[in-house]
Amino acid sequence: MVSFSLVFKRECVLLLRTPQSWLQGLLFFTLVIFLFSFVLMAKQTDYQVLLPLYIWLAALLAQLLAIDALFKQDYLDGSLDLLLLSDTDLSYLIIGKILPHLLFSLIPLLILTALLSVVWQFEIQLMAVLLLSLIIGLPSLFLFGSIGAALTVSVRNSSVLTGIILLPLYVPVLLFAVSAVQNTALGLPWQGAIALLGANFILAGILAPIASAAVLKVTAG
Amino acid sequence: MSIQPLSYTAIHLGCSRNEHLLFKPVSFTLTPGTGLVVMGANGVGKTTLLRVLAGLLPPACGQFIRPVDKRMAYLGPHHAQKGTLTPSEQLKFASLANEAAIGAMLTRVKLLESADMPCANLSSGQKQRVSIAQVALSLAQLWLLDEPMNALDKNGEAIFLELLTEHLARGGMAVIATHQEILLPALHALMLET
Repeated sequence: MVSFSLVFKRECVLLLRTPQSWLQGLLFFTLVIFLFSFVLMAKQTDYQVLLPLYIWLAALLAQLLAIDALFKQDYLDGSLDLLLLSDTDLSYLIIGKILPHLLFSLIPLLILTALLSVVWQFEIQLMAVLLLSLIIGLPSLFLFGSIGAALTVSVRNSSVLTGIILLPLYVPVLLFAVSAVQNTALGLPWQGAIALLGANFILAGILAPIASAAVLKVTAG
Repeated sequence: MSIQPLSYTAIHLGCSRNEHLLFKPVSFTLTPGTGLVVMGANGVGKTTLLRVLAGLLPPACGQFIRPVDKRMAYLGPHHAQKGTLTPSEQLKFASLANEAAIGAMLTRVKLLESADMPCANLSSGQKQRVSIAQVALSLAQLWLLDEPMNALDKNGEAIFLELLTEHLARGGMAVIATHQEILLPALHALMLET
């Protein structure tokens, strides 16, 4: 018998004890950013347009790398059965499980992005929109990602498969985020793209836990 | 710690794996205070039957009628434990029991000295004891136990039987898949045949 708060606390303790699980995504993010900036031979003005896009792409890839493992270990060691057997609605428990993962990956990534923005001398507005797009966009990716992770929970070496399944759900988020950031860099209005990103987040927040729960009941049985 | 009197009924229940029916469909009724010992050869479908009873898998035919309040505890072939958690944390996160109840249960299953050791450092028998403690703390009406005495020593088996007897005496029910003999008057045998 598990509840939302128990799942949340347990996940936080597990993430604190195994920092490599969320540090890996962060290191991958840093690595991709480093490689991108290394090959980028552009003028200072182009940096302001291109680098935020690379940051977003790197964040998406890092997130994709991490999402596949969301339910896998619990499936393999039988802990997932405890969630499935609980009286509490499974979609709540899934939110309880996703939330710590989201916080542990999002917060360090935001700090790192803020630092990079300062190092690369982004304008304040560009930095603000970039961070805002990450704050709204990454949770959407995480929520949609949980559906993919639930679908491939019983498949071995499924990270690429999960990525392919998630592509159609990830592309709108990436496009809205990138257009918001790019518009800001070019001095165009960015609010529309952020609003669409927000709409996407609401959609993901409502649908993804229900969809993941329904999928897990079939795939993890 | 009272349990509502409710019964579970299986009617012509069959299970399949890869679209292949595993054993001849079975029917049984579990009333409060009784249990079933599921026996049968390896691969006959004992684990699958337990997962169907738990509602984790759909039945291939027939039905299993559960009370609306489906409080069930399931001990599967895996320990459902995290290597980095200690037994007391494991029990804390898997049940709504308070610290005192967890401490008392750990004393009963003789794990108090390893209570603050990561589960990864425990032996299989000790892990099994944690799983049994988890089931006993769940206050579930129906226990679904898959090979609960695996890796347990004589003393562990005795502790398990004691907990099981208490559970049945309280009006609880149990379905146990095992190869070992369990001799309790409240338990009936269910032989699975292909």
